[in-house]
Amino acid sequence: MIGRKISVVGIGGAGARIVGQMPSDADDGPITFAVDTDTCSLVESSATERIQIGEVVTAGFGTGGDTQQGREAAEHDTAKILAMLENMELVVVVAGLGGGVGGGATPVVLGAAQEAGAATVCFVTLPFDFEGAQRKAAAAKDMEALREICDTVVVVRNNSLFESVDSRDIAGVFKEADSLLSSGVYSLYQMLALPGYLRLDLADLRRLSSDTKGECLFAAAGAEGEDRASKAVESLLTGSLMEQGKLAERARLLMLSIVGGPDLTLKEIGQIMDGISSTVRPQCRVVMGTSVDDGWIGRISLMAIVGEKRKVRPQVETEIPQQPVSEHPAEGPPLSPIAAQPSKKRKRRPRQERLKLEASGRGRFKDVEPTILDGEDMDVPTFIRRGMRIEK
Amino acid sequence: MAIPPVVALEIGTSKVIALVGEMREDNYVMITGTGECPSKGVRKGEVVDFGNVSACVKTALEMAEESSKVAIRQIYLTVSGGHIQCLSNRGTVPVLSQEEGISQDDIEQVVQVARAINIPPDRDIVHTISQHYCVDDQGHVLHPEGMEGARLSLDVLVIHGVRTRLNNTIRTVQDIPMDVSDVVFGGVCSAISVLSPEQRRSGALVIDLGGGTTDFVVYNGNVVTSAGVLGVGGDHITNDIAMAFNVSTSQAERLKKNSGSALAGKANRSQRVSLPPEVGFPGRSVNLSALHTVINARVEEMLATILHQLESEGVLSPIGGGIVLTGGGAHLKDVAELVEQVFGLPCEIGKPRGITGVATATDGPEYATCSGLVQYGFKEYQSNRRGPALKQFFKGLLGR
Ligand SMILES: Nc1nc2c(ncn2[C@@H]2O[C@H](COP(=O)(O)OP(=O)(O)OP(=O)(O)O)[C@@H](O)[C@H]2O)c(=O)[nH]1
Ligand SMILES: Nc1ncnc2c1ncn2[C@@H]1O[C@H](COP(=O)(O)OP(=O)(O)OP(=O)(O)O)[C@@H](O)[C@H]1O
Ligand SMILES: [Mg+2]
Ligand SMILES: [Mg+2]
Repeated sequence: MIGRKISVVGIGGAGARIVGQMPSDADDGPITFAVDTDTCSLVESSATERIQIGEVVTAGFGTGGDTQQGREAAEHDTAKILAMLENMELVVVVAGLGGGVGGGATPVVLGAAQEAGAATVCFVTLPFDFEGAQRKAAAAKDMEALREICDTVVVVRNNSLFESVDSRDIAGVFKEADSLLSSGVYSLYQMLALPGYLRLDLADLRRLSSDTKGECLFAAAGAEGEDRASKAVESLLTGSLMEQGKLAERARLLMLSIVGGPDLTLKEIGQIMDGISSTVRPQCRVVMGTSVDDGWIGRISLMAIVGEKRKVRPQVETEIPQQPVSEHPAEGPPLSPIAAQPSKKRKRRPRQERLKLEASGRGRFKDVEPTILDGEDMDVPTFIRRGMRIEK
Repeated sequence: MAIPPVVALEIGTSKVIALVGEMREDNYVMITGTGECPSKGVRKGEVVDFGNVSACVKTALEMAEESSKVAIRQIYLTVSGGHIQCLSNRGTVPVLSQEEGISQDDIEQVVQVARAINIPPDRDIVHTISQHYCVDDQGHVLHPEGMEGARLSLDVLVIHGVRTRLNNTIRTVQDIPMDVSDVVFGGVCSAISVLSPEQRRSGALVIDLGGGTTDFVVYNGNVVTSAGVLGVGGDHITNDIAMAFNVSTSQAERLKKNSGSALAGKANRSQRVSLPPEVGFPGRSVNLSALHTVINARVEEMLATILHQLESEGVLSPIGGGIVLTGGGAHLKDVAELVEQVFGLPCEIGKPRGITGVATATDGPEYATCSGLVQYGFKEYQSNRRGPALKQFFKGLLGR
């Protein structure tokens, strides 16, 4: 997907803050946008671009939790939003559900992104318990609206997110929690932006979330220094985002992204995969990808998106976004791009680690054209792709 | 005049098989000749080595000639391969005369429009299957003639594949030389062979678990409503086993057939199966439960992929007739149970229906495709005598 355009859009106060924490500079990393009605939140956000919406609706203030106003604000400025999303191929949206802007404007932005021809992925936080039942109910309603429009919705529970950071002062807690979330979103970007052998792509994510009816949960962890691989996987698996490991045990599908420095070793990847496969059930489908970022020397970041339940049989036909809806599409199911070429060399562009699986894993199919489905080489044994351990 | 015999040929990844069928009274098809040869030069359902395949085809046809005492000049041929896909198209025309209602002309017109479909230039249409008509907003009309309305639409399902790959198979046969009467998608043949009329009406899914490909076809309301091919088959299971336990392909094949299971977790964890030594591979033993885990992972993935595709097309909801498995892979132990788990629908192993004759040799699920093709041949012959409609779908494909 290199050479394609990816942007991360934070909507509302939460979105603007989280996106603002993303490691981004002009020519490396995604373009980040903050979109809000609230001028204060925009001023504070360090997103690359800040877009104010609904000036005539809220006069530069928040909506006070009014989803209707949030929606109107966005509808008022769809032209601005469309202009911002022009030429984008993938739009990752981050928002706090329960907020007026986060809940109301997000569906409008997603709609605009799709209209602009982009694929969409959505990360949303669910309110803390202490925010009360009303907010929770509002968030649940927002969630439904999102599922209508975006089939890749990844959920982050604020309660779990905040349990997983240890800082005493409230400001520190927020900052750490937001940076955990933003680095998770960033590793998704790293993973999607890079072609390579063990890479994940949008199709994996879309498939994962459509297999689970949008009930995808997010977890991230990282570690530095000695033993970082085992520490990272340990803290990922036992962290509160994984419900102290219970989530991993229930998982049906787990997409794992491993980001490390040029010093990331195969042994470390092995340790991480061993940790994962000894925790999840054997039936759990594990898809993983690795990428190497020069700025990540001495550290490892893990990001997991976990699906629990199998989708119930849909009553209505579910539509795959990104694919044009036509009476007679010219092709069958879209194959993901097999190898996109980088448009130009960039200095800190993360490199894709090539893993040499023994004898390529394709065995008797090594001379025939590979069967690639959703970016996966189906000729490679399933148990290898899923990282399953087989007793000899 | 007696109906001429039909010769059906399947160039499968594992076997090349030819069947000669004759129509008997009561519309029963009698198989009067068979020829079979282990396949060489076919991968994932597609010809990759002309010379080898052509030799296999000759052997199979010669055997069939000999046993049926029929001189074979013309055959029906199945095609498959991961490139085969389907898509639906809707054609709409204005009704010519509002007063008289929908005429035969309108119907012919809408059929033309619905068939004029844009597929990528490197592809050929294998089948065009009419689904149902719509008159204005009223859907699912079967016989629109005489109805009143302003617009008439027809939904068709088009099964298409990459021209060069289809031609590789066709050319191999034509070069023998042998005339190809018609080319039929293998999955459709399997479905014709094993589905009961009731299943075809109330909806059924047929999955053909072949050596190189897994073909699937959904029937509903007496027509094919979806079809496709997964370029993954029994060979992949065997390869996975060979890689997992570092054994030869033939040892892996034996493990799969003799000790395999599609379900994991049934075997005792400590149970082992031993393998006799082979040139280059010492005798050894393999953990049975691990063997099942490897097979289960692969087969579950294949099935889930099909489920996913069919669900996204929305064609699975009215499946009253359940799932029927064909192909050699249907012999895999516990596979029907796994299918039931994945799809949540009852599943049975298919048996070719409506044919007799050299039966015992050809009544396994791996013969469904070819015996379905024999039946297809007779159906086509009969409808050609009624009208030339069917024939014209295939003109382009055979390049004549
Ligand atoms: N993780 C995280 N969640 C936040 C943060 N701020 C707010 N939230 C959550 O996001 C929800 C929405 O809050 P905001 O984003 O501030 O609301 P908004 O979308 O700007 O809408 P209004 O302010 O009501 O107009 C809240 O209910 C919180 O659960 C933050 O900094 N980090
Ligand atoms: N008892 C068994 N258990 C498991 N698999 C079996 C068994 N018997 C046959 N098979 C498998 O069935 C497959 C062959 O099936 P079939 O004869 O239907 O294939 P084909 O028609 O030649 O191939 P294709 O249609 O894919 O081109 C092989 O992979 C074989 O290993
Ligand atoms: Mg706000
Ligand atoms: Mg076959």
